[in-house]
Amino acid sequence: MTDDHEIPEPHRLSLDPTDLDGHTLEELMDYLESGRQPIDPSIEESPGCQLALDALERLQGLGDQLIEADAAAAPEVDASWVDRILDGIALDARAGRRIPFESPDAGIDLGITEGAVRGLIRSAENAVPGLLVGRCRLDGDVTQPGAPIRIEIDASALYGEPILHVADRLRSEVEARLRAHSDLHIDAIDIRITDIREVSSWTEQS
Amino acid sequence: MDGTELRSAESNAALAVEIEAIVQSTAGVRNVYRSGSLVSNVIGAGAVALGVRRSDEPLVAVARGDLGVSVEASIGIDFTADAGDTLRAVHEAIDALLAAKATPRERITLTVVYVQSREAS
Amino acid sequence: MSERFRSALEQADDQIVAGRAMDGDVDAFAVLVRRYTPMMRAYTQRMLNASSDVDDVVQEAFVTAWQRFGELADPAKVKSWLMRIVSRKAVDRIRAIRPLLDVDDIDSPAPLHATPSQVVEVRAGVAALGAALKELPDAQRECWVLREIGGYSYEEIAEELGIPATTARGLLARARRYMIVRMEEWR
Repeated sequence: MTDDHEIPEPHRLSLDPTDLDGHTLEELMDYLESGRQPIDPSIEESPGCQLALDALERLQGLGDQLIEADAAAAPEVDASWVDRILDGIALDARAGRRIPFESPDAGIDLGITEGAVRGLIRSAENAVPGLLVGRCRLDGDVTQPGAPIRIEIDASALYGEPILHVADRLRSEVEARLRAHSDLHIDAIDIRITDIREVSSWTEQS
Repeated sequence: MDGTELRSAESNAALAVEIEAIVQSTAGVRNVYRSGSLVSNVIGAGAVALGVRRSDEPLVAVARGDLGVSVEASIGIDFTADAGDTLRAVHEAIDALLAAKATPRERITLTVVYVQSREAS
Repeated sequence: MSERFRSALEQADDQIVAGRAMDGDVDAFAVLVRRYTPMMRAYTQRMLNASSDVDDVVQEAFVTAWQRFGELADPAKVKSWLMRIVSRKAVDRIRAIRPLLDVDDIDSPAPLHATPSQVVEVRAGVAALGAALKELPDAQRECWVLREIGGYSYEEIAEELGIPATTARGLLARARRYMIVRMEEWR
């Protein structure tokens, strides 16, 4: 059913070219996007255009707010949703390159995956209080025995912990683990602390 | 598959199950995982490999070629033992099993895909 | 995994969490799923204007993300990367149902009084925006979402929807015109 009432005058906003002094809304959109440069007097001096430009500007940025509002109003993500997704992923997709070990004979091929080594490096965080390991990279040709390898590690530390001390601790832990579980020739272990977490995330003692 | 191929496939599967048991019981091994395709790794002509893998098939891959049996396994190991030591122990156990059956061995490919951290135990 | 650790990872920033997930840490990937599911669902819902396919689209996006983590150069940018993936999946879903954009859909002006006046409440800000968005014809709504939320250029919108860039611009102008006028009515 259509509504055939007239829109009350005070609220009337129309964006036809007649109300925009001959300009189209598309022209005004382009004008806004170019940062109102170069200045167009026929637009700047038109009240209709100014109203429309104000309205366009108000509209900009509301998109992100809309999604934020939608997301905030949504129910908590439940565990079964997460499980369904985890069941759908191929765990060996992130295995990476194969790192060889010294082998007693040509018919024996021994190796460890890059993914397993990264997991090993991550586990070094357990020995350093408050530390969380992020991404690790193994730079160099790990498939080539004896090739010099540089390890890069991103980490997150607890606010208040002395950074250098934490990094050194992590470095020696990682070194020990790599020595035990690989034949990699490690040139350097570079650690970047990329995030500092507030104490509050750790106040709940288990 | 004809009769010969069927018998080969069955004996490969039986051998794979035995090898899987040996691998699993080796000190330092926590878990045996499903391996990737063996076909790409087999060298030598005339290799007869297992067909399309189904979930009821053994985790260890076994193929027979002109030069002998080829085995491929992916394992998860304990944090406590050196990965290299564990891998060598596994291949020695497989070699011992094959020697006891007077079966020549062409190739053994073993890959550690997971190291169980001390804290996760 | 201890509770204390779980809560630390849950609150760690994207660079750390996505970095671990890229390296194969499934628990970190689960954190990303929990963190970005609401936003990805919201975006998909706004694009499709229907809730039945939303979960499928978001699930596919996460599975693809896991497979293609190698393409994420900077883990700190995982949020916009995930949004791009889900946007692509949403458009795929749209085009699977509607391979060609209807000419009538492009040319017809949006009705200015889509809702009977008795039902209109006074709505402000994003609530008004959300209501107006639902009233748009499909092509206009999709262009608006791709541009205003997805941040796509006209060329990118054109490529996604299989239309010329000038048409995308025209659709966007129509969408904005409708929404401005509609939201003004509600003020």
